[in-house]
Amino acid sequence: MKRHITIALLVPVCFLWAGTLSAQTSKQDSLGQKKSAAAGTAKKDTTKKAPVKTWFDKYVKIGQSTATSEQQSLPARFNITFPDHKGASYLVDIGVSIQDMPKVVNGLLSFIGEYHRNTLTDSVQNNLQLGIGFHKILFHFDGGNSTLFLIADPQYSWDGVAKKNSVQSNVLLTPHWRPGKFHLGTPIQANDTSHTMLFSLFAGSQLQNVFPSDTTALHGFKLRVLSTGMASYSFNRHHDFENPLITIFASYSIRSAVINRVGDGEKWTHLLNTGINYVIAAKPLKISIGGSFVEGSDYFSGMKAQQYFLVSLNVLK
Amino acid sequence: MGINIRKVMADQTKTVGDRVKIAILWQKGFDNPNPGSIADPKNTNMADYDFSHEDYLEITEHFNITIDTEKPGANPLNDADVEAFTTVQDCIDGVNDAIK
Repeated sequence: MKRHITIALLVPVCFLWAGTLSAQTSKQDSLGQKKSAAAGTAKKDTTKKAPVKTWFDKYVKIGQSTATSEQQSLPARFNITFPDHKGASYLVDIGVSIQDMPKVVNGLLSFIGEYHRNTLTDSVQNNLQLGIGFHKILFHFDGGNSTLFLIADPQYSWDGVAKKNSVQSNVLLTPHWRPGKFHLGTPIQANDTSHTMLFSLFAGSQLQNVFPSDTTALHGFKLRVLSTGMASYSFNRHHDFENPLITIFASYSIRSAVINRVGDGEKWTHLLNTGINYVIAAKPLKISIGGSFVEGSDYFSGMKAQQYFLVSLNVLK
Repeated sequence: MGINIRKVMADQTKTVGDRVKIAILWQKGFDNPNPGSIADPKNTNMADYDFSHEDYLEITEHFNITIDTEKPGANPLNDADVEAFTTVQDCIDGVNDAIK
């Protein structure tokens, strides 16, 4: 019988004390806030020093991917397994966005980098993406309470499995729609802040031009149309909406390669990503352990059709 | 029914600090935000709110409505500057500096 040491299950134990500390601190903060709110005054606190924010604090965001706020809201995932008499298998699923960009256009620019490496499943993934993220308000509606955004992320992508390079970009639209108590794109807070829900919707296209790294690799242009829906539900610690305890999430993307000159047979594809995360530390990074079920493919990030259940250590900032 | 955020940001019966707090809490999903719930803006870190880039674009627009109401023609804040603010107090100071 094979013995496995799975770091994703062991490492979080090291963070449990941090989680306990975080919970205690949060409880104190929460109580402090309630007390002040009850008094109805915003008092200046001259005894505490304001938090000092480093470059990392200010400009770096970490999630599972960087293109959309839905992907940014899902944590980066890590898992490593050391089987007896075999090499290690691991998963790295991370997207990093760096905001430190000059203001040159009417919108937000950021450097983006993603790395997706999975040797845990039969369909190996090894994909690096580097580019620029661009977010812009297109227009407002509903008397100004709702907004439609444009998101684009032109980038270079290297696929270490298929041995190919791509220049590619998402071009997506997403609404922040607030017609009443239901919101799309921004959270919905319970009156007592005991739980938080988030629903979001993205639609648009993916452009990808694949360049071969050798003469045998497939190459050509692809245009996909796609739509992604995401829902999450968080139970908050001590009624603190900044401090989730458990988050349940589901995300579903459906795409169609309406132009495919690569000749790899890609037509309709989908990706289901669902799971549950237990947050063990919320500040300064959200560290969680979680189980997720993934079914489908994402050729944009070099993930072939597959299905797996994963327990992982997650990091979100 | 919740507030109309644009009207509230232009409401001069509210202090600039309260309007900034309302914009932040509204973005976090509160339909009728209570600015008093951010009791200690100096020690309330913006990073803890987990705002997305889209959120920051909207927050900046809402801050700029207040700036334009208080001092028409003043230089507006830009999105990247607002995203780099460390605390809620930095946001309040940023808006106050723009209308000086």
